[in-house]
Amino acid sequence: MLVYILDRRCKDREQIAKWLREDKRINSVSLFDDYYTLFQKITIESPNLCLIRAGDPVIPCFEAAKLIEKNNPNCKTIFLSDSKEYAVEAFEISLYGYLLLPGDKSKLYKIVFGDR
Amino acid sequence: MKAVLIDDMKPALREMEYLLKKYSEIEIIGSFSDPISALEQIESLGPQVVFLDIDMPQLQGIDVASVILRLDQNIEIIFVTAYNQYAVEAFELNAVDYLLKPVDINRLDKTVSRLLAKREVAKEHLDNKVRIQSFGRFEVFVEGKKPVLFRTEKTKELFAYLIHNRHRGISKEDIIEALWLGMDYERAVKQLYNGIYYIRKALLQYGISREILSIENNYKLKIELATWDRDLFVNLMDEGVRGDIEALKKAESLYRGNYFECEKYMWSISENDRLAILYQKGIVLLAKSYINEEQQEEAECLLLKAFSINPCLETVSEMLIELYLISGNKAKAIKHLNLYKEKLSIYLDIMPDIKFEKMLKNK
Repeated sequence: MLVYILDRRCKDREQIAKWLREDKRINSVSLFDDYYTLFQKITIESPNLCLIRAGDPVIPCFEAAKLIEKNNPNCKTIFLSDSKEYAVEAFEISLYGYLLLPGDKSKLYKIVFGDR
Repeated sequence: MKAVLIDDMKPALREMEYLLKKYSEIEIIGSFSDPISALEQIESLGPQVVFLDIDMPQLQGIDVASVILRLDQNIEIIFVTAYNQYAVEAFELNAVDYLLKPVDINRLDKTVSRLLAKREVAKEHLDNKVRIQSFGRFEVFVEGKKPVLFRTEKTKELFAYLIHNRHRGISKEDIIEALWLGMDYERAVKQLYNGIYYIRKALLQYGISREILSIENNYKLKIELATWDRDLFVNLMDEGVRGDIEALKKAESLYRGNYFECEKYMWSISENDRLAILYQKGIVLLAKSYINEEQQEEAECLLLKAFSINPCLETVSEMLIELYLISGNKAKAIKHLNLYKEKLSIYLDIMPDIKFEKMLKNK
């Protein structure tokens, strides 16, 4: 599985990346702190999973999620947030999951690998 | 789809029944104001979807959902509630949707579409034995599983070349010139025969028999029960440019990147250019349609996607900037113009047309 993470908060991003890399089902994890760079990368190589920070004023999380979905409907998108605030709207745009931070490895794995 | 409704407020139950009547695909087989009674009967009723309130005095909807899923994990859950604070828990239970009361009919349309689409996807996987993707990264999928692995990159390129030419026969010499230019002829012929052998072997390993996909005389690829995104795209675009907006939308969704973008095969360049022009034509028509329907957000998403695939297309940036200016977002218009300038400078070493500055000055 190819994973991209869009999050400017290095500590959270690094922790999530570390947890994901511990599982052999994950082939690679790429980190981004800028929406345009992420999107350019996606058009060249689409990930299987994309985690996006919700609640960062610099990251238009809903726009990013919609664009990813348009570009590759098979890519699963998950929001990362320390607030529940975006969850209802996340349902409106059919996101795959929502991880409330700080979160833990088992919750992350349940969302990413859990039975669907 | 068989549906059960659970809500402690009877007027809310009646309203949901009334709203769901509109959908011939949904059959209501049970309505309960007591979640405990509902749980007692769920197994015998056998619904495929449950519309569930959250705030119920007898038992909270989140707990009801957990029990339902333990009984049958294939039941789809849709929460219908006046409260927005349980949406994260709803995600954790893999709910299909989370509707806020009072339920908006357009929003419910989306929910039902989503439910039905889930069923269609499952059905599609059975119908499409082989799916060939050539936009973006070249991949071949069998029954929705992981992509077919080819022995070498050259074997993969050979298969891609056969697909690229599937509508015509190609000679051994054509193939050698495209893939092994400059190599000693005898050696190149051996490489070709080996390549064909490894392609057949790889396909057989994935259960693709010769009835489904075979390499015939004159190296013409025969594909049955398989879809190829490029063919679908061209057919849909043909319909789209004649006015079929739905066809345009489907075509647009197939374009995940340029033709063989990751592999950059030399022999695919001219077809790539042709398809890119076709795509641009379709994007412009579709974006205009969205703008006419006052769906600015959709238009913006589409144009940004087109921009990210090819940032040098003037029409796309022009339409985006105009869209931002019309919606009063001059800051975004300026930001995009700066990005467009940067891309033109990097890729073509030119400046944007002077009309862009005029557009901003006039607003």
